[in-house]
Amino acid sequence: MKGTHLGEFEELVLLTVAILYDEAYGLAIQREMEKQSERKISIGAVHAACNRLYDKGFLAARFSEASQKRGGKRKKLYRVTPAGQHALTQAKDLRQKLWDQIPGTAFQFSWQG
Amino acid sequence: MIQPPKRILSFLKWFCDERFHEEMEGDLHEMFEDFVERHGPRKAKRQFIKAAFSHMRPYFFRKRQDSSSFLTAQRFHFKIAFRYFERNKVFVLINVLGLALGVACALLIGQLIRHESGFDQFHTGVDRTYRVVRVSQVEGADEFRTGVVFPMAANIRADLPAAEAVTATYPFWNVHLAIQNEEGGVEKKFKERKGVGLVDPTFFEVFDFGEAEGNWIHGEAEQALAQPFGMVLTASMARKYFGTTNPLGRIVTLNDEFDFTVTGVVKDLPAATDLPFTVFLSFRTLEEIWGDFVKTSWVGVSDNSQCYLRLRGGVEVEEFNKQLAQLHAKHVSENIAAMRSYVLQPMSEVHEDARFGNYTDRTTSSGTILVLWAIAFFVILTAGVNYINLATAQSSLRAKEMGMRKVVGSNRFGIMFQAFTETFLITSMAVILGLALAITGLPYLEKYMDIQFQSFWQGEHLLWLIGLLLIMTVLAGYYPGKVLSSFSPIQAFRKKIERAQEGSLGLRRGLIVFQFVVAQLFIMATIAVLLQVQHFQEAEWGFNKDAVITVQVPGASERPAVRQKLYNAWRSLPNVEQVSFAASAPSAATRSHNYSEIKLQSQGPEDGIICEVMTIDTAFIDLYQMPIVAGRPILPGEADQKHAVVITEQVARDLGFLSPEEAVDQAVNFNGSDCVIVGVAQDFQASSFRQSDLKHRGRVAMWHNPDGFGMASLRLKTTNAEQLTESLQAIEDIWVGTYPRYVFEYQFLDDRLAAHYAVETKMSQLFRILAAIAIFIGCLGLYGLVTFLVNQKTKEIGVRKVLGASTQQILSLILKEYMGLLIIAFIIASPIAYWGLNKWLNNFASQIELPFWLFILALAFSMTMALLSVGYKSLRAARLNPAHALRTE
Repeated sequence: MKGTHLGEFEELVLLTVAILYDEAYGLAIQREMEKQSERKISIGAVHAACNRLYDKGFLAARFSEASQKRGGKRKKLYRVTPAGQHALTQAKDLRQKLWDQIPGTAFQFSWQG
Repeated sequence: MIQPPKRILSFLKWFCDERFHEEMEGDLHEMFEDFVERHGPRKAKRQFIKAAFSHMRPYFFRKRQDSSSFLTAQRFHFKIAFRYFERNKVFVLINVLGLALGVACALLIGQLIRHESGFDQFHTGVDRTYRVVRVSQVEGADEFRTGVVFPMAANIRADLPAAEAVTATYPFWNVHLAIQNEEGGVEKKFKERKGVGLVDPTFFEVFDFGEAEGNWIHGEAEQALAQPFGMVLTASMARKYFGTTNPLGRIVTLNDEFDFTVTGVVKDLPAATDLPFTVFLSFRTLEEIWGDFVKTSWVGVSDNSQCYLRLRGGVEVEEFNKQLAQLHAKHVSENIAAMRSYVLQPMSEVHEDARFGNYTDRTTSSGTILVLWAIAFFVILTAGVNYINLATAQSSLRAKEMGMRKVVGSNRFGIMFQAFTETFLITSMAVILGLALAITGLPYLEKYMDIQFQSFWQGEHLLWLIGLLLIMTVLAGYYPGKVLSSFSPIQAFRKKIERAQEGSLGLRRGLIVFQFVVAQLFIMATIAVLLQVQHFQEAEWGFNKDAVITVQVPGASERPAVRQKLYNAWRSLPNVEQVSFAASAPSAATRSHNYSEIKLQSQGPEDGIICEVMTIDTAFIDLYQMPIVAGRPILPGEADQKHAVVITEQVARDLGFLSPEEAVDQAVNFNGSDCVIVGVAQDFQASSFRQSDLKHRGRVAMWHNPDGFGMASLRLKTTNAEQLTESLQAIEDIWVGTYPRYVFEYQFLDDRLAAHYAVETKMSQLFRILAAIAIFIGCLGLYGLVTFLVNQKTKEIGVRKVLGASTQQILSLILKEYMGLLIIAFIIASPIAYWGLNKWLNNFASQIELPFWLFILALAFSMTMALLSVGYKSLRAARLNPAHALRTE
């Protein structure tokens, strides 16, 4: 198994998968991410991230039933695994811990100095 | 509904790993549909391409056999190959052996070709270098000669500025050299049969022998050969004569008469040159020895006097030929100017054009080079064919192995690669072994052909070898690989390959036929050459050649009294029957020929014919026991010896006499003087049997002229080895007593005559070896085929035996097949051989008829060899217990 480090983009993808719950497949994830972050996100990047997360064990995948749409290809649907959830929580906790340590004065900007 | 661009999708599929395909394709498809709806097809397409290309990241790349797994697969292929070899040692052995023999042959022939086609190609500006040759109109036909008049080179240099550098050359044969020590005494004596020659100081300007830094080791290029009696040696000659490479200023006496001073030393010349000089003398010496005639005679020509030049860039050969014609016309009568012309011959043709010849007395025509290429090609091809044959035959036995591999997931490509790996290993072994064989054989070939080859180890040569290895691997591995990989696993396990193999069986039969065509061609050629050589050996020479030795004697400059003393002393030896002095032997591979005109005095000036002038003494006809058919030989003490002529029957006929008797006592004008025909000798073979050597069709006229003597012939009474040694010693002792400053050297006339057909003798031996190799390789192929067939027919044979067939019947069942193939090969080979051999035989004046039995013998021989190689396997198959055979499933 490869390293279990969670990159920033990967974290966003993982969260989006969680949001979409049962409807998380490549294109849907990309659209949701574009909508939420209001920036352009390439489908290739999403595919790569999903598959990497799958390799790391943070995502589980299954194929939907085939339909006439999508050129007869099935959707690859993702769900967050417990390991994924754990990784997300860890990332969030880390951030929280860091936030908590910021001294009150750190964000009091002095515009003269 | 608009579909997304297919090509983009398939490209995506090509570079992305399979496991991502469905997801990508599906999402892209959906995306495209969405785009089309929102932006229309054109923009959708652009967006689609952009989206598709966003997948171009290493993560998705197809995990092709990346380097490590490729190596793993290759290691596996090697392992399997070695295991397979270990279990099939015989297969490996015959293949490696066959291929190695083929490679060795091809390499050696390649060396020969490289040597023969590389003659004098190394000189700088060789494409502008030419030899001036002479074409004469003789009796209506063109006669091609190399000789030019002596003043030619000097006059071209002075009058024709289009020539950049010009040199005259004139070799001497059988030169005696006495090396003087510092005090003027004779230190050592040598005799050089060849290699001594006169050249102009410009010789090394015309020919630099590819030496970029110059040829000179000692001495000055401009000065060394500018003065008369200057001598330049090659480095190895300097060492041979003086033991040092710097003998400048030392004196060498030539033929006990002329003192030359060593003025320079040059690097040794390469072996592949038609200017094989080792001792260079300054051309101006000739003027001192022979006088002004060298500068002025524009009529008398010696074939050895040649002229080489290099044209300035841009000068047309035709234009220069015109200038030459003008130069020639300026110095000779109109008559001669019309009859003779001088033209330029490109340097590249000097070693090629047999009409002219050269100083090495050996030309190799482009046709011969082509034949050599063909032989090398066919030998390699039969060896390669052999491999294909054996490997495909074996493949039926490996069907199960291949089926199994396919079942566990191998594809055609992998199996092909396996086949190539095996072929590569076998060819590599064969090339290494072949190289070793060639290197071992090279010195023998060198000695045998009397050729010194260039080094084997040259970059270019190694590239050839590697190229050969790869080409052989691909060509020989492709077909067996294709067959092996074509097995469908189901068929392989149901043992139904026989049917699938039908096609390749046909091909293998074709290959066998091809091999036997080659083998039979070699056999036929061998027999024919052998017969022709035998024909030469048994040829009627027209004189008695047995127990005759010839000795080169000092020429006209020696006093006749000394020669008479020598004659008397030799004559008095108990074992010497007769002694004769003449210009040369009546026939020999290397001797000088002089031609002149003979004409009846009663005839007009136009009616003369050209014939060879043979200078003899009164003992000559007696010694050689030439039958006189009319008149008498030239008698000793004859008052008018000088004007008595003995002609051959051919001359008598060509002069228009109906019988030899009529010619006797006729007054003729011969060689510029008035003579009388005193006798007519039976025709004899004065030249070699080659058509090209047959100048003036056996016309010889003999006369007595002591000034022209250059060779003594001695007929011995004995052929007993012990007495022979004794007599030769006595003959030498007398020589040393008479000519202390000349080296004694003799040759048996038999040997000199055999040299006439030395090339053909060598050829017959070479062909014998090649035929043996071709047959050997062919038989290996047969062995392979019979192995295959017997394996295939085990059951059939078993059933037949159960039903009552005898061993003989079964044997004939198997053998019929091969005999059929051999006969097909024979039908193809014999017309080719008939055509080719007749073409070759036409080179000779006296040729054999190709006998019918030659072809039958070739067929019988190849059949015997085939039977021997096929016999054992088929006999074993035929005698196998049928119960055994039927159980093999």
